[in-house]
Amino acid sequence: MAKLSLSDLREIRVREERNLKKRDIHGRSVHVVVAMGTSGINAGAKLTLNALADEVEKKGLENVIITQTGSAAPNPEPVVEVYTPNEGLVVYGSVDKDTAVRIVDEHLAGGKVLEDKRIELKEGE
Amino acid sequence: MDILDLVREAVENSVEAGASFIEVSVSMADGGGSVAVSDDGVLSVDGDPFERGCTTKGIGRGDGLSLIREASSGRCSLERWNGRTVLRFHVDDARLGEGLSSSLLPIFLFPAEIALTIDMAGRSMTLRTGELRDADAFPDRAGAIGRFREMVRQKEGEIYG
Repeated sequence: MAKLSLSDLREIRVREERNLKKRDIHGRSVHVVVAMGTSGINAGAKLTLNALADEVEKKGLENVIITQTGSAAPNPEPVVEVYTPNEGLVVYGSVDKDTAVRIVDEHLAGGKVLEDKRIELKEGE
Repeated sequence: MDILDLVREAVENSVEAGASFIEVSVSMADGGGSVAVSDDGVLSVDGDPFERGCTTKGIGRGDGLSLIREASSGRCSLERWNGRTVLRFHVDDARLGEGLSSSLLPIFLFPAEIALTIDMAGRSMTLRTGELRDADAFPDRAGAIGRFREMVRQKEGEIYG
């Protein structure tokens, strides 16, 4: 599937931020972005996205907004980006269903970054 | 294969082409599925749009349509009609994934107005971004996610009985 360069990812980020501004996000300070695309879906990103959504729903985290973006290959997918006012951008790799639940419980609700799943984004070829 | 995964690829392709209104029709019959995706985006591809990597959207993009060609064994087309871009494809071995709302959630998270109709053996359901917004069920936040799932569950009854 598509391999994005860092400039592609920046472009996507800018676009997503623009899209977010079009929506009613008043009071929502935490932004979760799930990288989908073919490679992400093949790695289980659909399960990851749904697990994140259900846990955010279950916890009633009203300050969180969830969006999606394209493939994050060659990074270890599924990739999830979390933007919070305190920690800024944190990127997680190989986010399966259980890790998705941990991200919501520990990072979004608890404010603690999951260092064992954190990655640095690599540039696509 | 969950045919809605391919629909997600098609919708992503429409969004990347600048579409703001996307109509999707999925018809399931005899173990297969036929899909038509119509959008108001720009079609400006040189060469075969179903060729891997053929895109105007930048390096490394443009694999969605090649995946659709592969899944449909070439039974796919892309054309301009009445000012809209229309993608059609047919997959012989297709199904709707278990938990319809899980497959529909990533489709309806795209930033576009989407109207999606699923037809199965003469029964059909339609879901629109507008009605999600009206019901505060756009599934990107707590509360709305639950309302989205409930709305899809109710509509599933319209095709499964």
